[in-house]
Amino acid sequence: MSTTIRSDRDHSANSLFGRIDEAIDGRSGLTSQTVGYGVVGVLQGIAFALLVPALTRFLDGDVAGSVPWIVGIAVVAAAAAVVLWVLTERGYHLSIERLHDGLIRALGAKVARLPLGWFDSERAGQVTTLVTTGAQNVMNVPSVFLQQLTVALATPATVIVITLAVDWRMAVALAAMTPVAWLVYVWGQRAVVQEQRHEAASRAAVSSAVIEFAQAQQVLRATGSLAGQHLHVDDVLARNHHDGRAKLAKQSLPVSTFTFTVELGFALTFALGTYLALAGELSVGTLAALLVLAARFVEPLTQVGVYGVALRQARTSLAGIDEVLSAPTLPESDTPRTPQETDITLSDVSFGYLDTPVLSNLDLHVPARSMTALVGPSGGGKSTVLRLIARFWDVGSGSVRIDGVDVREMATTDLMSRIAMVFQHVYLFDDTIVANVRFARPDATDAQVADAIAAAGLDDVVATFPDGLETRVGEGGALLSGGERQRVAIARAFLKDAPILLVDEATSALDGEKEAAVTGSLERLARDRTVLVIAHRLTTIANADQIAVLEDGRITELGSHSELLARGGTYQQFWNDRQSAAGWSIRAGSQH
Amino acid sequence: MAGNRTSAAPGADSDALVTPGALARMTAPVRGRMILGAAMSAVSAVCALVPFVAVAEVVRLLLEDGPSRTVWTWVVVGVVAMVARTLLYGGALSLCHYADVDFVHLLRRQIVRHLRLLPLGWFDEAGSGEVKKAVTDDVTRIHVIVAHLAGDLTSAVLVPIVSIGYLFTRNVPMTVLLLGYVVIVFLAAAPAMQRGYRAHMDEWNRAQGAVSTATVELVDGVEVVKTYGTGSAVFRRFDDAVSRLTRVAYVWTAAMGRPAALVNILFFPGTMVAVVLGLGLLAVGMGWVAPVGVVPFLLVGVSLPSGYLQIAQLANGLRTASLGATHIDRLLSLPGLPEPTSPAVPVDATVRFDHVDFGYVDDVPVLRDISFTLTPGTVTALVGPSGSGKTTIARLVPRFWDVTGGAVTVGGVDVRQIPTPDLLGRIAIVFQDAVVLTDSVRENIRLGRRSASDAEVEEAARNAQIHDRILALPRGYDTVLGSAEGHLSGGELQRVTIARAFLQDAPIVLLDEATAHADPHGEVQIQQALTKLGAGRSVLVIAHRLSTIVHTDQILVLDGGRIVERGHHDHLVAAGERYARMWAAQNSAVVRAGATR
Repeated sequence: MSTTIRSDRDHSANSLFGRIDEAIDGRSGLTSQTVGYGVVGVLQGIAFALLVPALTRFLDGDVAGSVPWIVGIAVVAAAAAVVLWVLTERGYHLSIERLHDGLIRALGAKVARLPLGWFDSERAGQVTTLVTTGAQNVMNVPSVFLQQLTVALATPATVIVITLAVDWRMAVALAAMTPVAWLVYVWGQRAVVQEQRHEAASRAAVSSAVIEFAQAQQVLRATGSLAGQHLHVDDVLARNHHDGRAKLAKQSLPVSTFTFTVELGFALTFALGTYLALAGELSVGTLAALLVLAARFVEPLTQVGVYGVALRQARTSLAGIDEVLSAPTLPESDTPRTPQETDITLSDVSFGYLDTPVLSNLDLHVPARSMTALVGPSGGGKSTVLRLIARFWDVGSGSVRIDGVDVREMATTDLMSRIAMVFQHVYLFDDTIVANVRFARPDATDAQVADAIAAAGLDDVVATFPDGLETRVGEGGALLSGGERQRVAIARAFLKDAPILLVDEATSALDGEKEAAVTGSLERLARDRTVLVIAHRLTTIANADQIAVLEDGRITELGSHSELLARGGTYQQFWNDRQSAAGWSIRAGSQH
Repeated sequence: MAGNRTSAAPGADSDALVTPGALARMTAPVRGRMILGAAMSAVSAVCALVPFVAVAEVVRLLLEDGPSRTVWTWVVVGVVAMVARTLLYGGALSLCHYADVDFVHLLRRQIVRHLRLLPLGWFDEAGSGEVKKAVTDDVTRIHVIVAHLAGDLTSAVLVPIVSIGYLFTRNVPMTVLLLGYVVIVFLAAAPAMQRGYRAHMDEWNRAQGAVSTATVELVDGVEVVKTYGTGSAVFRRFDDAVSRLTRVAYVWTAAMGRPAALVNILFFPGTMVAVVLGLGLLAVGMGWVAPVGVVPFLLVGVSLPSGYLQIAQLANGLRTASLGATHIDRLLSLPGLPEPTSPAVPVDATVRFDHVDFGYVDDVPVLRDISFTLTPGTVTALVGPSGSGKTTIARLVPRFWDVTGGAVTVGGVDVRQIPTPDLLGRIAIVFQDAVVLTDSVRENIRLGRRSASDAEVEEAARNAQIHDRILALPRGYDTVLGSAEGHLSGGELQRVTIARAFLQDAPIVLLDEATAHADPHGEVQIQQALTKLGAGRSVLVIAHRLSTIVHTDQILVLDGGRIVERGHHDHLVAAGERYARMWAAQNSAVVRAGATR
């Protein structure tokens, strides 16, 4: 379902509520809240309308006769106040609990379920804007705008109906400009939709561009790109500036025109009332009462334009939230199956990113409790194979099975509980080292965590830090080196103790002693598990039970080290390259 | 009281301190338009009252003088004033909004410019979230003031003042009674509404900041989140941050929502009509006013306090804006790395560390007494355990940080005395984590030298052994990296950065864990590329595989921030110390690998 198309068409408040209901997976309570505010508006309209009998008597000298009417006004006003009080309390609750909290949680849960293909460099900025500014815009709907907007519409409507009974000509004069005002309002809403969306998009891009600009400071400075140069971030800022002005250009005129139209209605009523009073067709008391009504009629309506802008802002935010929430996730099976064994079979698997095919008709069997090493040129799709097994994406065609059960038929939680991963780029959360390890199994005892840390050789590393395991790792783990981050990942895998292990080896980031230690801990980790490893190290490759060569999106060679060497194909070439790489050296003077 | 809540993080409390004048300084570029907007808004406030005066006068004239055509004058005056008000107010708002959009742009550019000057250490500490907060959130907080303060606040304050003035001219006792009601309501509710406002606001901002940070983690660390599931502790961090935000919202509402709701109801137009009529009955009964004298109060008095909410919102907005301005001001006044006072030009590409001490924070030394020389045409290798300071040494050369003791010189000149573009222009860096921008491959390589032609870019890519791979991308050199189609492996990204270094053609080359992500085949390619890149230059390489540095001119062995050994490979192996042990450990791994099967 396409959200962007929907938001083009829907302008009614109902669709806004429907969308909120859908987003937070239940009833937002906004519809009943609106009805409540409507009641307040009608009561207030009645109180205003009672001014006609009250003022007519009051100004004509019958002060005593006006008293019951004035008491009536007070009673109706008090009733409106009580209803409003109850609604305000309820509105706070709706805003905080259902809208703000509900929307943010829905976003978070959704993000965790989206396939990896959804994530690109702009997403962090986009989602962050949605959970802060976006959720706050939507949150203000019931407690602020909804009350004002509903009352601003219900009160004048009531006043019109009652005026009709007093003097139909005055009622017509009051109401005459309303259809025009409505048209202007709708025009204003439509006129700015496009610009508003552009502005919101370029504003989200500002976040992403600035984050990138900060993260890329090293390279930008190292290559001297900052000095007087025109940068991507400048373009993004300029585009947002341009879009902001374009939005204003479309927005200002409709808002002023709307105010103008409504006030024209007051002018009409004023002139007609004066004419009728001069002609003796309207008593001065009634004229005064009707003009007071007209003033009360106009004031809230001139504000409608302002509320409309805010409401539209909320709707734009909501459209952004909705876009994320309705992004397709990988389908979950209704009748999940559970494999018993842990052998992995990829049959006739094809997969590509957009138009670029990565794997074509790939077949591979990883026997249970054995190690398979995956080798091949970079860009050949090795990481993709690992991610397909973990179902970060679904295959284009073919199947990935664990013990004969298609991963698409397994519950995600079940699948994930069976797999531990040690990838090249290890993302750490801005917390302590020990907390980062514990992520793998929150209910682990301290002893279990300590064992995992020791098994990964992480305790040697942290021994040199003043705060030891309590050392904070910085944003994304920035304060640790690549090798240190990797050991945290290994410790996590130990703690998780899953029967299937997927490793994207990157141990070349370590020096000799550490490398031996990491290789040793990975060996221990691999023991008695089903392991698929993207191997770079000679040790790892030589230790594998079988080696699979991945080239051009398929497995071209499969067998043991000696078998493949004897075959004299790609693997042999690869092994020779690898050995010459080990023997390569940077020479003194660097002239080779 | 909420003001006593403990702050979530040390240092967060400083948010409560507002730098006076920061807001005024920041908005100076658009001050002219804001003042003009305020003036237009002030005139419109007077015009807003005139139609009501006209109605009251028409009613009074008709009651006192009977039907007379003179009342039409008032009708015309009222309508003209109404038109004038709409034009003036709309104009004022428009003017301020345009000023605001321009202001936001100016301020963001100023911030981004300033970021270019800050030491890189700042980015590690504060994190990109801090930068994002300044450029988006804080700027947004100030923008409300520019867009609305001049126009809306002037109107919201002046309209009731002019109205009260008018009402006093009509009838003093009625005005006093009505003002009495408004003042009593305010006095009763205001203390409750003001109490702890700052604390609540700060608490809210902190909690929202935490949600923001947790969200960035959720998105950036999504592979980890997926692996460990939404029921896991990873997701709980996000969950906890949201729960805290919700709790803060409830506390805030409980403390201030009710008084605010009460004031809203007591000033509701329906309520006000009843109040004015009640007071009118009283005043007429006491003989203080004729019935017709109550009409102006029904017209003007009813909406007397209606602007209070807007004033309160804008006042709160003003405070929020001051906080935002303070935060930005703090960012903008962070000292950049000082530019040289007496700039000098290096004579050659010799790099010298002269008794260098360094620490990222006070009292935690990372490097101690580091001295070595890197001469042109030679290769120096840094080895040592992770965390021993290898990367830090490499980063001191391009002056990502300034040393805390001793000096780093290039071509005989202290790096602090070389203008930044000159210094950086002499140094090519290939880092472990390849940083690429969301831009085309071509532009990413061209970062090395902005003036390079397309042909030169492709030549550099060929030298870096990445040309063919780029051509295989969906849009070749125009493929945007970081997009779904611009998917390159870590090793490939690294070769993009090597191409960048080729293009830069600098006499000093720093290699940091340069082959970390390569597969063996790619590694051979990278090594060939690096050998070519290093030819004839001053090369500093952070090495992990000792076999690659056997033939370098000098090897520096680091441990705990000190150079513990130095010399040529053979010399170090013979010494039988630290390096020799590393060499033995690594060789045994390779030998074992070769020997298995």
